[in-house]
Amino acid sequence: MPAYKIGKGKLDEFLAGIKKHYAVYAPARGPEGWRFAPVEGQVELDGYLLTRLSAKEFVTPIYETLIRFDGRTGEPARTENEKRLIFGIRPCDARAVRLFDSVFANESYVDPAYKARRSNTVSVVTACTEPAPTCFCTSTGGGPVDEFGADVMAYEAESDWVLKPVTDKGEEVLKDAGLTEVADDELKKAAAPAEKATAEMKPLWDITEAQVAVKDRFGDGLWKELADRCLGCGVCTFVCPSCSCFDVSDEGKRGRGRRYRFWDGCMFPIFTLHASGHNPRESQAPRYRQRVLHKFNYFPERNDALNLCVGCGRCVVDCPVNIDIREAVALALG
Amino acid sequence: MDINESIKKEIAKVLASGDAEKAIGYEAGTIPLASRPVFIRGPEDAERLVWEPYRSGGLARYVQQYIRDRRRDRDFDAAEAKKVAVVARPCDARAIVNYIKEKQFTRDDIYVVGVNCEGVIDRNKVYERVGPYDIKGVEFADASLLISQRSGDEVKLTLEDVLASACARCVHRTPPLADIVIGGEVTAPDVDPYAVAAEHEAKLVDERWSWFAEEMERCIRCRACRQACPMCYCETCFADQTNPPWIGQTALTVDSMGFHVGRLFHMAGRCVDCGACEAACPVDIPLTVLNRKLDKLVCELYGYEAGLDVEEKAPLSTYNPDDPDEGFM
Amino acid sequence: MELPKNPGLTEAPMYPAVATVERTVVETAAADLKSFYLKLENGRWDYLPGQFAELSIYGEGEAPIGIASSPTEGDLLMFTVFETGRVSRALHRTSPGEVIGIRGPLGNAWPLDGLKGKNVVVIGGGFAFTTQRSLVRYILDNRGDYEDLVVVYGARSPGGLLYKPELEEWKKSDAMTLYLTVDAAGDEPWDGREGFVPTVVGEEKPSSDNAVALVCGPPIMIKFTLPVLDELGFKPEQVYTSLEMRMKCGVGMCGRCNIGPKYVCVDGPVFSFAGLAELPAEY
Repeated sequence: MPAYKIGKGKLDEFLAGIKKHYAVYAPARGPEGWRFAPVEGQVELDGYLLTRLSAKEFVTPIYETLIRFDGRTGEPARTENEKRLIFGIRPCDARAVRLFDSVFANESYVDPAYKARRSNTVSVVTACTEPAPTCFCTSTGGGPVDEFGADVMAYEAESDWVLKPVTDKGEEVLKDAGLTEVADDELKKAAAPAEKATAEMKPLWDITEAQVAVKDRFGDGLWKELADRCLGCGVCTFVCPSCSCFDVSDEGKRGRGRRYRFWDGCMFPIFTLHASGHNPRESQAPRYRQRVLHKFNYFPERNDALNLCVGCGRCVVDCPVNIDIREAVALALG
Repeated sequence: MDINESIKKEIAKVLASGDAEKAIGYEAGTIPLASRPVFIRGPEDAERLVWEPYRSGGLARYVQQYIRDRRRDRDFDAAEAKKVAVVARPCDARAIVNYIKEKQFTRDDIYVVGVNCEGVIDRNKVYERVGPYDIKGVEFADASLLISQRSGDEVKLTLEDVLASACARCVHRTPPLADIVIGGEVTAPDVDPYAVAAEHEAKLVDERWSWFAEEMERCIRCRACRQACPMCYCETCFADQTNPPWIGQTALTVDSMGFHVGRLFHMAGRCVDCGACEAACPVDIPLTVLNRKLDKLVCELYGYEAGLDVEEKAPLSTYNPDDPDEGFM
Repeated sequence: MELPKNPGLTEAPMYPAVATVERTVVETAAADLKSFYLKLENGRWDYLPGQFAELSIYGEGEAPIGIASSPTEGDLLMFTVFETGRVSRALHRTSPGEVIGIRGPLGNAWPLDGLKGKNVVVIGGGFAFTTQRSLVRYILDNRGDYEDLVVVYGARSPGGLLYKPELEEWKKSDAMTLYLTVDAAGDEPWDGREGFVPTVVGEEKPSSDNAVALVCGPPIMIKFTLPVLDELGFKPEQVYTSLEMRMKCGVGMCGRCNIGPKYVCVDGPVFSFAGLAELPAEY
C-alpha cells in the first residue's frame, strides 16, 4: 500500500470529505483539557499531546445498555453502527484499543456491541515527536511510531501530513480521497522526527524482565508500601486507556427497564467482595498489586507477552496521591 | 528555622519519645506539582518529609483510616496504643475536629503538628494554563511558580493564579486543634468565604440548573471526589449499595447528579472546604461550589461552621426545639 | 473432553436465553434452598457436570449458579439456589410456569476424562453439593467408565441435606458407597451418623490408589479435609475443587474473578490443588 500526503492547509477539506461517510473526531480543547470531539470546522492540534481521558470510550463507553426488558422478557439493545474516524489518536491509546480485542472479541466470546464499534472505527494515529516526561511507551512495548493499533499512521512534515495506511480499513479511507502518493524516502523523512523521539526515549527497563519481576515480588511488602496512601479512588483505572473492567446492573420501574454495564475498577473494595462478606483482596495493597500485575503479568501471560500497560502516563499524572506505576515496576525490579 | 525543618524536628521528636507509633506527612513526589502522603515509623525517616504548596489530597483521612483499622486488628491492645502523629494544615485539623465529634477517635489518639497555611496550588488550575503533559518541571519561590514546558519555553504563574479555590477563600489560616503550631501567623484574606455560593444563588433557577447539568455532563463516575474527601468515610457509600440501589451507575447526567447531590447532603454542616474533591477530579469539575452553598445555609440557619470546635454540637445531628423549620426534611 | 459450546452465547455472551420454570422443589427444612427445573425455550444445551450458568431476573440482576442436573438426565436443567441476595430472592419467588433468563453453560467441568477408569471420591458439604450431584448422577449413568464411587456428603443438620429422596436411593445402591453425616442432629429425627465431613473421611479412609477426590464445600471444610486426604496419600494433582468468586459476566470480560492470570469463570470453576498451587493464594 502506498503512502499519501496532503498539505496541512488541506487537512480540513480532506476530513470534511470523509465526513460524508464517517463521523470524524479529533482532539479539541475542553474544560478539563484535551478531549476527542466531533470535528466541526478546523482541526487545531497545536500543543496537543494526549487527551485528558483516553480513547477507550470509542469502543467501551462509560456505560452502555445491553438489554431492554419488559417483565421477564428482554431484547438486546440496538448496536451503534456509526462509522467513525478518529484523527489524532496517539500510538499508546490506539494500542490499548486493539488490546481490548482479546477481552471483548476473543475465540470463545465476542461482544457484539464492542465488535461493531471496533470494526466501524478507523484510527488515524499521529506519531509523537515530543513525548511528555511522564510518557514511557517505549518501556511497555510501544513507542512514538508504534503502528500496532493504527489503521493509518500520520506523520507531520513541514508543510504536509504524510499518511501511511496500515490496515485495509485505513487504505479504504485514503485510496480514493484524491491524495498525492509519496515515495518511500519522503515517508521516511516525515517519520524522522518521531523516529528520533523514539530513539531518545530510553526504555526504563527490559519489558520481559519487568513482566517476570512483578510476579516474583507477589508476596513482597512493596505493594503495601506503595499502596498505603492509595485512596481507592479509581482515577487510575478510569483514565487508563487499557483498563476495561466493568460491572452490570439492572434498573427499571414496574418491570420495565434496562440492563446496562458501566466502568468498574479493581481499586474499589466491592469489586471482588463476595456475598458472604469474604473479600479475596481485603486492602488497597492487593488491589494495587492486581492492577500492576494485570497490566504487566497476567494479561501478557494470556496474550503472547503483550503488555497491557501502554505507558501513556495518565495514571501517573492524575493519581491524587502520586502513586506512580513506573516507580512500582522499578521497585519490583529492585 | 524554616517550616519544613520544624516539621521534621517535631515529627522526629514525637516518634523518638515513644509517644507516637506512626506519623503522617508529605514527601516529595515523582512528578512536578505533587507532594504525596508518607507514613513515617521511625524518627530517622522524618528526613523524608517535605513541605510544599502542592495538594496531594489531605492527610486527615489517613488518621481516621489508620485508627479504624488498628482497632479492628485482633492483636490490638487499647491500653498499649500509642498516638498517631499527623502534619496538619488548618483544613486537616478541621477534619480531625469533625472526626472527634463523630467519635471516630479521641483527642488522645492523635498528636497534631499544625502548620499555619497560605494555601496550596490546584493542579487543575495550572493545567488550564499549561497542560498536564506539557510540564517538564516546576520551581516554587517567592509566591510564584516557574514552569518549564515540554516545548522548552518557560512560564511564570503567581500563586494567586493557581491557588486552589478553597484556599483563596479560606479564612482559617491556623489549625483550630493542634499540639504544636508551626509557621508564622498568616493573615486571612479579606474575603467572603461564601462568595461563590452567593454568586450561585444570584443566578436564576434555570441558570443554576443548566450550570449544574453542564458540569455533571463531564463526570465519569470515578468516585475520586468521594475517596479524597476526609468526611466521606462511610463503610458502604449509598452510591455503592445495590440492595436496593439508590442511584443508577451510568454517567447519564441524572445519575451523576444523583451521586453528587447525595454526597452534598451528607456533607452539609460537615464539609471543611479543604478542596480535596476538586483537586482529585480528573475532569476538573468545580465540586466545591455547591458544598459552599449548603455550608452557607448551615451558617445562616445555625450560625455553625464545621470543624472549628470539638465541644460545639453539630447542628444537623443535634435536635434543638428552636431549630428553624427549614432544617427539617 | 471437549467443553460444549453454546453458539448463541459466543455471539451474544451477555444476552440470556429464556427458560420456563417447570417445577420447583424446596430442598431444606429452612426452605432457604430451592431447586428449579428449567426448560429452555429454544432446544437444549450440551453441558458437562461442573459447569455453571448465570440465572437472570430482569430488574434484579444475574447470579452464577452451578448446574445440578446431569446431561444424562434429559432436557430439563436443574439448579439449586440458596436465598441470599437480590437475584436469589427473586428466583425463590418465581413459580412454575414463569420464565427466567439463563446464560450458559459457562466455565469448565469436573475432570471427566481424568476420572475414567479411576476410583472416584466425592466429598461435599452443605449446599455446595450441587455440581457434585450432577457428577454423581453422570457417573451412575455411565457406570462402566469408572471404578469405585465413594461419596461423603454432610450438612450442618439433617434438614440441611439436599436431594433427600435421591440420597435414600443412593444409600441402597450397589453402584456406589455413600457416607452421609451431619454436624449435629439436634432435635431433628436422624438415625445416621453425626460428625464433620473431614472426620468421616479420616474414618472411612477411601484409598488414594488410582483415585481422584473432588472436594466442594465451605472453606472451613475444605481446609480440614485437605490434610486428611494428604494423609491418605492423595497428591495435589489427584484432588479437585470448584471455586466461587464474585462474578458478573461469566465470560472472562468483566475482570473481577481472576486468580493470577486465570479467570475462575472461564478457566474454572474447577481447579486441581496442583493447579491452584501455581496460582497466587488470592481467593
